[in-house]
Amino acid sequence: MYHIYGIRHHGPGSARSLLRALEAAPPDCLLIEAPADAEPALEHAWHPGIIPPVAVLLYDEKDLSKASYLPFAEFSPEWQAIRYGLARGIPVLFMDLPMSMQFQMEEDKQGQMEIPLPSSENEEPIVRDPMGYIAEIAGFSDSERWWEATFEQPGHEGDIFSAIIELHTALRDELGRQETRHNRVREAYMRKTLRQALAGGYKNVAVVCGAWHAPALNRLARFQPKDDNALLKGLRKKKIAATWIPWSYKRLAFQSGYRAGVVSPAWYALLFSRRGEAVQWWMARVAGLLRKEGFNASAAQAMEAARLAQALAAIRQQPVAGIGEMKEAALAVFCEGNEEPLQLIEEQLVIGNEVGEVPADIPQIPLQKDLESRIRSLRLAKAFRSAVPETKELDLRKANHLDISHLLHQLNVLEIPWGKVLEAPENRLGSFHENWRLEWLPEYVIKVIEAGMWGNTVHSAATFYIQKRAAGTEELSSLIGLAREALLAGITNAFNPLVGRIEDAASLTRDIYYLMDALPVLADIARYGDTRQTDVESVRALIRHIAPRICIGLPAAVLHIEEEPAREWHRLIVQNNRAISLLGQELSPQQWIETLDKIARAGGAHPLIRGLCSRMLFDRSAHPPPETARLMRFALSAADEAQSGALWLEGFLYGSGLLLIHLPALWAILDEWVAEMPAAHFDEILPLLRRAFSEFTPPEREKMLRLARRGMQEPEKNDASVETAFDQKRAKQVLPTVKLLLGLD
Amino acid sequence: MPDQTILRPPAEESYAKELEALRASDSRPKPPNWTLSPQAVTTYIMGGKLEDGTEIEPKYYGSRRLIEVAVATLATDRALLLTGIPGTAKTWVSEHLAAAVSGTSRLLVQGTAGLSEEALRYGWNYARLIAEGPSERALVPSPVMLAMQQGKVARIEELTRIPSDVQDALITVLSEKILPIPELHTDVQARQGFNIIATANNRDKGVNELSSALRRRFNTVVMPLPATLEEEVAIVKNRVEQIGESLRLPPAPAPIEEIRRLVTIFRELRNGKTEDGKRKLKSPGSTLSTAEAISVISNGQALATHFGDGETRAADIAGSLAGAVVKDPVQDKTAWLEYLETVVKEREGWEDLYEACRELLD
Repeated sequence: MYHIYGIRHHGPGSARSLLRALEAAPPDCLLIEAPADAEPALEHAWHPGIIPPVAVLLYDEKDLSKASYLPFAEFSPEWQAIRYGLARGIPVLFMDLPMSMQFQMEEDKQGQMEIPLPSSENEEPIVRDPMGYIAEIAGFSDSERWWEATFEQPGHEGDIFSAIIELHTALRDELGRQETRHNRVREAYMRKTLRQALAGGYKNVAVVCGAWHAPALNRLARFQPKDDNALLKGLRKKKIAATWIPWSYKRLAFQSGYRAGVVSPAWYALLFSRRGEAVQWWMARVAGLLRKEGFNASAAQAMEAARLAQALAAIRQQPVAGIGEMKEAALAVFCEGNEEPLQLIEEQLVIGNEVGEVPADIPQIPLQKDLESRIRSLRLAKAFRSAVPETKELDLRKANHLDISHLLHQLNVLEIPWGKVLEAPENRLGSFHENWRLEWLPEYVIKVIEAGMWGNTVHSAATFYIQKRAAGTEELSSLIGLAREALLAGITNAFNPLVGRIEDAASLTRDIYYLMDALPVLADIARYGDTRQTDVESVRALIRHIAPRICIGLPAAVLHIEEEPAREWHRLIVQNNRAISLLGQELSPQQWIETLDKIARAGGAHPLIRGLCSRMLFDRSAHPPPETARLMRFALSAADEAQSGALWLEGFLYGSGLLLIHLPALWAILDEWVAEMPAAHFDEILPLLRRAFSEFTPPEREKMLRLARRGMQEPEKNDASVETAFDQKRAKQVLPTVKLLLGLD
Repeated sequence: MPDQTILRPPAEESYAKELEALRASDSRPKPPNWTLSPQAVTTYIMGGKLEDGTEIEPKYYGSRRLIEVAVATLATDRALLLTGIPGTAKTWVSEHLAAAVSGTSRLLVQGTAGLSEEALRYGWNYARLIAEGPSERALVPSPVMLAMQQGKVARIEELTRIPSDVQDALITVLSEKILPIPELHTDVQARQGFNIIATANNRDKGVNELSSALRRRFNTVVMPLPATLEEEVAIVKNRVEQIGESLRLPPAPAPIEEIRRLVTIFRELRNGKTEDGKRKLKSPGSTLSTAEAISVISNGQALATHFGDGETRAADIAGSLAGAVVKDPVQDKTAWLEYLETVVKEREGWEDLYEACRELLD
């Protein structure tokens, strides 16, 4: 005797009906559709510390690229069946094709390695969730509602599972669909397990499987054991490790890419645990989440929204409100028709952020083992276990500290933000010091496990992941960001290919804006890569290619632009100028100087940029003071608008005004310009001048004020009176110490 | 038979036949004091065909789900607030909802800045008040009070234009469903079926925002602008035909090509980009709602009928079109000129429209 219970994966309605059916006809053996080699994990399922959502992780210990997950939520029928069996001491067996054989089939088919997906994800919608498919045909947006309407209404509570078998038998017969080989092999294996169980003397076997497979198991007599064996021929069992890992609602959701997932785990959980008042609970959650975001949401509104959702369902002749009705009701009652507040909480509301728990005494995956061993060897275990954040100061010249920095950066690459760098200066590659804030949160475990799919060790996973991200982008700025990350994380083997990609992207980009955005970062890498023992020759080569292109393109790029972009270019030119100065040895600055010169003299260039270039040329001694004076006089000539003169000054005086103090000629020009300006214009440009002068240090401004005063009362010869204003006697007291310091005695 | 000389009879009269047919075929449970079941109300608004073959004309083109939310709200005891920019059929929908739910859309309060509390509660017949002292006979009930007494739906137009302190008079009515009359030591208790549909537009500045206490008593439904060009063209065509009938214009087919062009122009200017999404445009400050498109077309039709040969052409709509777009003589005019020169001029087959519009601008 055996019973087939065709269920919907992760269907709370199914789970409830299944439990009811099991209570009504207690089995003496439970067969569950899950890979047979996951069975060793079963013994832990009764562990009191294990809290769903959890998943069985199946992986080949020798080849970690072969891994598969088998997730369960509290409301998954399979999970309920397992718990039911374990609680009553009934043997629970997994009957699906062992994962090792599925890996093998995958490999045979592909002829190449790839990460196999959990079996149920490869199937077509009608096979994966036939009832969802039928629900859609019946006009239900949500298959749980269809289940509710079809099977869970009072008066329908007959033997729903025989109805399901009939439905699917009809579906499979009528559709006449050619099953995939994968499915046929799986079903053959399931039948084989079922036959074995029956031969083993069990009197009342309960089989829990996806509804699509129910007909294939129900008509056992129609299939010959020898045919099944023929199908299974050539597939060998291999050792596969199975362990429990915490899972999350996010990963269970269809939206996260888990194709056998459900749209709203949070809603399904409510439907399972609080079926009667699920709508009220849902609205109470909406109110709570909205309040957390700072909106007004009262209990009375939750009540009204629940009522509206139910009224809506009634108008649409649905037995229960679905997610659609609830969203519309929440929109009308809580949000005054604005979608934005709901969007803010949507993910938390619909998917939920529950994470499962797996106790520490259950075996772990390799990446976790590698991480923990590295943590131990770097003596970070205390920070790792600590519940409160810790700060750590690293000196990268020490080997141990450099390793810690690499590990933390590698984890960051893998999106495991255990450590955050504090006060990162712009050129942090140049620093020997790093300040970290370490805080390990329990949900990072799942990130480690997620990262487990990229590699066995933290280093190899980070390498693989950074390469994957690089493969997904053509954008220069993100590639350069990745190269920086790779350098910080000490992933040298990913670094060089990245530089190649950057080279390609740089030669394709037409906009020199991006090149100029990139150059300072590259210069940082080239200059300071050494502190991290990286080979940066390729970066130097790249810079040698990029810099000339910038020099050629820049003069045209700053012609006839508005003030706002001009400020952006201003920032870039300043950064690039610094970068080019830093790279002095390998990059001849001559071409850059010529470029600056071209811009400084170009009438169409924005005055802010012209001013800046003139200043840089002066600073680099490329222009002698008289030439600078000439440019300044030209820019400030009365024919021009006062506005553009002021902008030129702002660019010219960028950073420091000392040269105004030291070069009386320049000062005189400025003085003259201001003095000759009509009062109306002066009012207009005053704010601009203020901005230009505001960045100078107070002593500089003090000196300028003095200069300006003196300019007005010309004849005052020297300011000896100011200089003798100190106490000679007290000043002399310092001299012995100064002599001592200078070693003059 | 409705009086033919009435310019625009209320919904329950002009659609009396449809309502009667719906009532006759309606077998679903009705909330107390409703003339139709919620499903039938939805059918009345969205249109459809009844079992007896009666064709129900759609009154609202757009999302059925929105109307369902509105009807469900009226079926619970929460009041309904329809908001949206001007010309999104708020008043139109509220009128038809009231007509379908209560059989009358005439319990109406027109919200204005000068509205006093009496208009929402009750006033006094002063002659009688002085002669007889306070009595029920001296009381002049407001539409809201009548709706409470009769268990019907009252409508409040432009709720946000009503001064805040007057709005507050609604709070007790909505939450306690009771209207105290302290002068007579009595009160009016609302009968089942009483509810309020308010409309408010969220575009105008200087309106009186609802207090959160009042807002809390309303379910809000935001009426959107038509989602697609086809939908909007259908709305304009439909309404233009109806207006033509009531203005006794000689029956002429709705100028579908002109409507399509006009709606395209409105949508493009409103969205600030061309329909093919290739070009960005300046948006004028004017609302450019569907309702305005309707009035531009029927204006053009009237022009063509009385001054032209009866066929609506570009020249007939150009005048009111420019009037609808250019509300601000400086900024809107630049936007309109730019649009004419960059989009209309280049579009194939639009030369006549371009000429007509240019002529008016010079």
